[in-house]
Amino acid sequence: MSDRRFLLILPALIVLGFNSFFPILIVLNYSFQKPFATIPKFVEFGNYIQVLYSSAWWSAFRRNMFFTCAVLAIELPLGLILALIIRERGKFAAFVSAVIVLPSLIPFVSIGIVWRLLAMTRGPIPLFLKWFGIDYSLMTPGSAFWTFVVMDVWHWVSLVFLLLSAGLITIPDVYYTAAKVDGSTKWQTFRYITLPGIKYPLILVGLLRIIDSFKIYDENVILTGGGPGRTTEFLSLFLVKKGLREWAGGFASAASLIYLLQAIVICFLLIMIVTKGRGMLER
Amino acid sequence: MRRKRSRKILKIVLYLFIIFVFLFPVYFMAITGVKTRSEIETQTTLYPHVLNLNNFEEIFSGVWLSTIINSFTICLLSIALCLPLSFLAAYAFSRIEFKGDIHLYFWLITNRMAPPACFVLPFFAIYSNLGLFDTIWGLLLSYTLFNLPLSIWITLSFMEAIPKELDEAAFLDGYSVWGYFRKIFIPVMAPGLITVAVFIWMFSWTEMMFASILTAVEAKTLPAQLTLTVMRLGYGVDWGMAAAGGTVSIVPALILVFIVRKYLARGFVPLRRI
Repeated sequence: MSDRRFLLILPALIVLGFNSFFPILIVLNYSFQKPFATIPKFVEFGNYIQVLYSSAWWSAFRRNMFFTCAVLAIELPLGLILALIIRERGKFAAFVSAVIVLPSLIPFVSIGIVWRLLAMTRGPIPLFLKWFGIDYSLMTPGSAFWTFVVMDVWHWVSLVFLLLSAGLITIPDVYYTAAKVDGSTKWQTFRYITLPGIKYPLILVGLLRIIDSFKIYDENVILTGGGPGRTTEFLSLFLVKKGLREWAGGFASAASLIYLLQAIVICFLLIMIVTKGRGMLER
Repeated sequence: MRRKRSRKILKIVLYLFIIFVFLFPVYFMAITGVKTRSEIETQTTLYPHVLNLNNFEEIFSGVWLSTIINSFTICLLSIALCLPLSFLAAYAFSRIEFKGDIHLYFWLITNRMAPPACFVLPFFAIYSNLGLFDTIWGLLLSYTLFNLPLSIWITLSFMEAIPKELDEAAFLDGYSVWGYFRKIFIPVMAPGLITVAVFIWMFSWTEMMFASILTAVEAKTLPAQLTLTVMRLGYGVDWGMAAAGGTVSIVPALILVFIVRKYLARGFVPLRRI
């Protein structure tokens, strides 16, 4: 077979080159200037320094970090517990599984709308919490942040559940029988048979969630639009506002590149750790 | 015996609780869509006291209807565009070793990881200059940023599951390349292709960032329209409308997934191979 067949990749490459490579070049270009000033001028690393000194940027960054950690810490165990509980094959169990998966099918915008309706002043959540004497309002920064966490968990625990359930099925029953014969306790069975069995799905879903939670935008816009003031402005929203609302092109571009770099570095590191340096393509 | 009984009851209670937690928010949005405006804004009710179908009537007419049609169109066009492109590219990655293929593949994956927010400014600049602002084609093109890498990724993992020896055996048996594709390869790949189509559809249907930024009137999609509704300051947000729109946005996803649920389960297994 002639090796010119690798040209098959060309159409996709051209489209992506235009859509992904080219814009990044533009961003790179802008990040060294003030492109929308009355007289565009080169500021070299000025924009980057501005970003790194900007307290708004650091707040957004910290917020994202904290958010991702909180969300992962809750979603992974919760999804695992659900997968462990709902393991039988009956029709009822299937229905419950379908219900759990439902949120992941809903567009992000609608998730935002659902939770905004629940959490707004006249929604069920403030009313419900008031019975317990908790004063909750979407307008307070702390509550707003945790609303995001709860919303995200509600949204994505289904993905964790799905992948871990699939993983659990692949563990041969023989292992469990053998463990029982050897007299292992529930905890030991869990630790030495179940956990290793779901290692790959767990890592995969953890990776996916880290990557995706870092990019949160749609729900951000709908739920709080940045929150009281700027207190629930996550990175993506911060970036879009800077770039397209305030037209701070240079700043936004520099921030974009830093954001991009962070995302890629985190993923790259994680993948390297996970595949023990082998990378992703199995050659 | 008694312990088993109480355990079973506990399990059923737990299941009911889980069902409630996951269904109630959606239920609440659905009923908010049929409440009257005053009821939404002044009371918290668990079912609509007065039925108001105006919101849903409005959804299926005029501006809202065209946004739904736009969303639909974009999804179908995205599938039509990305499926062939990714099929070819995945075949190249899978069956052919060429220089720099691993690096290219890595770059492809990073597109999936990249925050789309980084691309809004350049996209806005490029597309406005090319006259693609507020067009379906512009939006379609922008979606390939995410759709292509994802579909190549998924198609590739399905292709890797088909041994290369099958190709060689078929060619030895005298199949032409096109005949091989038509009679053997594509039928075997069918579940994979369906999975990819579903993923492309889901992303294109739900995407909001580029939709709200790259469109104004003509090419508005449902999520963008919903966002506009929610952001409308002035005389207050029409939550009934937003809720109705939100409910409508869920329905196609539900139907689609119900139809292809068998394939979806298989779809996740190859994804395990990172």
